[in-house]
Amino acid sequence: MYFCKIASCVPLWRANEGGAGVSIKPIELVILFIISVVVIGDGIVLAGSTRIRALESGGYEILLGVTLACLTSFYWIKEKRAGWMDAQGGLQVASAFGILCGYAIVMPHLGYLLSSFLAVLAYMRGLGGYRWRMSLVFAVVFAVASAWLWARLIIILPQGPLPWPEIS
Amino acid sequence: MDAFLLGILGAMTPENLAFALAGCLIGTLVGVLPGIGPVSSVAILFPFTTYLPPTGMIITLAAIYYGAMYGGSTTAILMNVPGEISSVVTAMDGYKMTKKGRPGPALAIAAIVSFMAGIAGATFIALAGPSVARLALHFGPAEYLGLGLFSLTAIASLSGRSLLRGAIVAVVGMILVIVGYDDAADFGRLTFGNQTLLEGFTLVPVMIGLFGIGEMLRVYEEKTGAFQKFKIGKLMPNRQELRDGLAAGARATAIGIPLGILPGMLPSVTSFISYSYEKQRSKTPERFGKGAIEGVASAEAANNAAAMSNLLPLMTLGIPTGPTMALIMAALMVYGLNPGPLLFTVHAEFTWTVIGSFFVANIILLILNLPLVGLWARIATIPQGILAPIVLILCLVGSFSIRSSFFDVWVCVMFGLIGWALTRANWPLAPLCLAYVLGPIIEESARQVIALSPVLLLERPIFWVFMAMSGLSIWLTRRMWAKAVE
Repeated sequence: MYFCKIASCVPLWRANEGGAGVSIKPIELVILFIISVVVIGDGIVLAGSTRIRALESGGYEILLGVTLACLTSFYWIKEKRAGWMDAQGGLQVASAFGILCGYAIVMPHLGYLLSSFLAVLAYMRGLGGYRWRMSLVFAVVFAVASAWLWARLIIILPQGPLPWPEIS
Repeated sequence: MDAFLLGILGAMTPENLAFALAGCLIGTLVGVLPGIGPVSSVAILFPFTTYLPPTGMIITLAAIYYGAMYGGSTTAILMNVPGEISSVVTAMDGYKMTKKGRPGPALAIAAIVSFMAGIAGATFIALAGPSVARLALHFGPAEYLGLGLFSLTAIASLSGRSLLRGAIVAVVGMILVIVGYDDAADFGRLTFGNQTLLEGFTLVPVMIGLFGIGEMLRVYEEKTGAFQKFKIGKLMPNRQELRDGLAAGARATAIGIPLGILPGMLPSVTSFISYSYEKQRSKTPERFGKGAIEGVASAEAANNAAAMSNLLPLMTLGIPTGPTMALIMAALMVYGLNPGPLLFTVHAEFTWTVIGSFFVANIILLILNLPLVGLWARIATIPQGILAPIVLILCLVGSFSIRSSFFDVWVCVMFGLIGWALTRANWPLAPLCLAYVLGPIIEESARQVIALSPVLLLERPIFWVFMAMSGLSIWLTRRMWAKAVE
């Protein structure tokens, strides 16, 4: 009785989950089918090779690709609720992601200190809406303090043109 | 019993106490920050704990996890900003109590029942762990194949609105984990001749990306409004509140511990179930959602009890039940400690010290956090415009520091985008993470079964028990979902 009562509470949790009932976005299906085809193709190539145990490895890949293709087909046929959230801060996300990619690109060349300073400055000034002075001060303090902390923790990061003294 | 006492003593060494204390403080600190839940906290801080000794690393990560859960409920109660999904339930009544001018009792009861549930969960691990580990010693590839498939099915069906989506995400996770060099075939899979891809996508950058960067991109997407001012006032609840809260906490602990062992039963799920149960059995259900202390107690106790018992399948069977457990599993593997039954035999001293530290961490959280609640609340008001860049940089530095590889940094960035896109499209993330850990176990077990003889499966009843449980979990969740829609 006790367990039945607990079990009957599960639907209440499920009902609490949000999501509007809109149709499936075709892009979801396209991406999933592309992944299945690529995986099956790669599996076939591997299974067809003459390497020892290649059939096992390739076979497993094919199995995963076929399973994904089948599940995606079911999803296409049966599922009618996609529940994509409305686009709101798309530009903000794109900018935040762009700065992050830029940071990852420049860090090996400019080093941690300079690139972190630039990234924090870009985030605070560009996306956070802070004034230049506040953004500059915070970016400098964060970059220097964090570089010092990483050096203390012996986390080796790219140094770039501004080499950071090693802390023993 | 001796081993258990030795474990407690081991956890009380100054070094381990310091790790537990630091973990609790850092976990709570990160947990109170808006938008960062326990999984994100553990994922972001994971790389920085790899510099610690094995016991210290696990103690710190576990303490970060509990601390982050506590931090999430503090902001849920005070500001209606749940740091994680399980705190959504806490916020329902906790924030109403704050609005009524009684945040103190809500915070106090949350801390007391969390402590109670944490201690009960740790006791359960200490009592049941060795027996389950002994049973697991008889597991062969067939049983592990069954267990892996059951875990994956359960998490796929429980972690989102749709079983089909959960299953699709799980398969995608299993595909992503095979990218890279395959030892068995001595060949790259899904690398398309690219040498860099032979390294594969390792778990930690993937998790940091999915949960850390993904969360921060969501922060930029949804700007949080200004926080309301509050006054904590008197902390202790009155006698009636204490009695009601403790009783609800005890019932929720009894629900959370057994549910927490099941794969997919994340603490957030158990807190919803426990809250609903408490509301159903109450003579005055109309008080729920309007500031009922039982609501706060049931949600908090269930989620802490489940968080603790989640560790049992990991430590005894080597099967994680959720994303955080997958990270703790990765932490164990960093030191060549394979989670599973051998932890209780070959690495008994380590295991009992870690179990002992669970008790210690719960006590530390109870003692520390109530007096510091004002500080946590102030930290939680740090503007996201300042917080988000710091977290994003931490994510990238963390990913890089594991292998000093920029490939890992890019994996982290890309998975951040994937995590954001999946959440935005309402696809669950948990099956992807679990598939990442369970995929290799399933593949390896399946290969061994095939190599030995597939007929072996017919002779292994435990495999069929797991298969039946997989079927049952699918059937039950489908039925329950249909009921919920009705």
